[in-house]
Amino acid sequence: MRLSLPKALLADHLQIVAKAIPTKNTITGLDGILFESNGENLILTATNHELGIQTQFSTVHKEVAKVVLPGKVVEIIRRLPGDSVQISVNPENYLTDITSGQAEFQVYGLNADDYPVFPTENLERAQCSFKIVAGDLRRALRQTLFAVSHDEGKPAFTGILFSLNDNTLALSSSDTFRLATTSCSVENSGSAFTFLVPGKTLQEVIRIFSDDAASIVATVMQNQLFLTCEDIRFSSRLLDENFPNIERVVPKEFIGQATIDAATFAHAVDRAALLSEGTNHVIRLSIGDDIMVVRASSKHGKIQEQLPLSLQGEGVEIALNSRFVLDMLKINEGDQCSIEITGANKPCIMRDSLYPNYLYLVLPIKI
Amino acid sequence: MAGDPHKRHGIILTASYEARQFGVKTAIPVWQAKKLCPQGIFVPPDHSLYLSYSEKFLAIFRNYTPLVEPFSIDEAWLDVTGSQRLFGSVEGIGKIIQQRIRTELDITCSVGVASNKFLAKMASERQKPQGFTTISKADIPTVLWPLPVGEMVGVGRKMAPALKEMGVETIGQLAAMPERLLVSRFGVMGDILRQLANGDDDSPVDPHALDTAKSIGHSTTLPRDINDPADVARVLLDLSERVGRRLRHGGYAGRTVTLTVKDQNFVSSTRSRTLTEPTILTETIYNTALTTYQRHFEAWRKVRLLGIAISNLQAREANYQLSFWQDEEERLDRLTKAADTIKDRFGDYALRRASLYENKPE
Repeated sequence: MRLSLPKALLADHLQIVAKAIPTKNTITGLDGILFESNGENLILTATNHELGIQTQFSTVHKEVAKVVLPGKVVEIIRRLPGDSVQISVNPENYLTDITSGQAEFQVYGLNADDYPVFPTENLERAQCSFKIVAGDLRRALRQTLFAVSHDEGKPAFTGILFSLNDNTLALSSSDTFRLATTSCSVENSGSAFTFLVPGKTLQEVIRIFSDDAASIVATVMQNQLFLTCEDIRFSSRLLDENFPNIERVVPKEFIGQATIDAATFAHAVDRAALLSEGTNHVIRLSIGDDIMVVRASSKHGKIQEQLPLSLQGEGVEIALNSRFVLDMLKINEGDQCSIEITGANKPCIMRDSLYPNYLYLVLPIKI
Repeated sequence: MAGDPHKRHGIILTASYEARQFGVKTAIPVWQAKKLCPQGIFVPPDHSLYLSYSEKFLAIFRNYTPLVEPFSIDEAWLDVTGSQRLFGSVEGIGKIIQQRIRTELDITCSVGVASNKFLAKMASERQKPQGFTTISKADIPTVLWPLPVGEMVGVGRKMAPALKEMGVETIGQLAAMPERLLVSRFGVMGDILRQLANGDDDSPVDPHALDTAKSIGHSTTLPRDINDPADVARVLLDLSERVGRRLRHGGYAGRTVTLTVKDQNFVSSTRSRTLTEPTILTETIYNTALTTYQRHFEAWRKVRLLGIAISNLQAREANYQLSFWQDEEERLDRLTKAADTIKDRFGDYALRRASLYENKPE
């Protein structure tokens, strides 16, 4: 294989697949990136048992060849001095020369025949398939990913539940202390379907599908989720766990609803968090008729701050984990944030004025 | 002083200076001690008696300085830097205290005087019983360095042979070792030991050192070796209950559960698991210990001793985060609270788990 490529282009595409390179692997060869030239395109693939990423771009070369290069190659390409890169692979021993400017790397490549094949989706065998706008999917992921649990002891909660129903896709996550659920519209010709995807791999989806206007084809097959968008393909293992019933815990009625300027609220909570105490990072919110008082205290001191709000119905005195509140306010896009109150020591719901379908349910701290 | 051989606690816990001359020492079995010293008098331990004496001499110490750090039941460090105007020189204070303990409590004690905790402890070990030793910085090369490294505080039974392998036999040789070698072999401990060997120790005398527990643990030598999984589970439950109760009583929550197993061949191993969230529940401690046991210890191995400890302690918070779908845990929480209240009022044996009564090994 002899290729000459623009360095920046190759570096960008390597960056996309880099996150799928296993950090430690017992199988030699798997901890690398597959370089495959099919006569038109250069295809880059990285895969571990959790996720796989593949990307491709056209080259002027007509060659058909492949090699596996160590994960280090991502950094090697990124740090090359020149604007273009020459890669040549010895087909006998896979010794690979990478040169650019005055720098010459010789990298020990491996036989690509042993590299696992990137699974291809087969629409006939798919359990479900739909089309979604990348921007919608990324937004829905941003609204739910932060509420995913990192506790391996509760595996069902380490994922986001995807529920497909006609042309609506709902995403829900919970770490058992709070729950986030949102939805977006999709093009779906199939039936209703639900599946659970690890939060860890979905983090990469936000990163790699950076063009919000693009359209993504999603397919679930053989316990895997496939996302394809133009030249980038993504696959993730699904979690084989039962996510509990969300409907059961979402309150249907509330006693009061407060609306507050989202930025003002975020800044006040951010300040109060400096003195929120213990592992629960407690802040107290007193929601009154026109005013909310944010309070926190620790052994270092205390803070109190008053914010204007508008309240319909009853107010409340409630203690919450400041991190949980901030997590939501960070992704809140609308000017306003509303808080639906169900009582002291009872869950409250936070909503983003821009997305009426988004619901963030937080359980309070019992003092 | 020895444990009860019938319960297989038959080891020498400590020996008098007279018995030591016959070769009787801590941790040897009673039968061996009887062979070495047939005329020896064997007495069972009386922990509450020792505690009462401990409190008495700590009270005497506190007449001379508030900076008293208990090190063990019969040892303590005193920082008398600020007491010299009131009570005279450091040596003088040492002599007064030694005399008072002799006359008021009728027991002997050894005193070590030095400029830091490490040297003071080394000094107190030099002459026993009723010794009085001062080690000044200038004495380090002549007094401290010729001593075998095994006599150094902080060098235990395992470290001494390891140091010997590196050619370190005396404290002086340890002091002269390159820091790099010691750190690569023993980690941070290596550097600390080298500093101590040079007589450098800047740790303060902390009167509150024992106030906050670092871990809470219980272990038991079983009356017979067991390997029936049900028996092991029962012993673990009993230990977990005791650990859990002390944990809650102290107002702590803990995150790391450590299981110690000694098998029939006296091979002991320790395994720990750290939970994502601190716990106060007996059930969580028990389940963690049990899974650790099942994962790390072959079922055929007969077990002689089992121990459970919980560490990574933090003060239990008065407030707690409510959660969804965790009804079981909240129910257990309430149950534990109710059970603790009953035990506080009527004693630990007022309420016990039924499984601990059935075929209880003992």
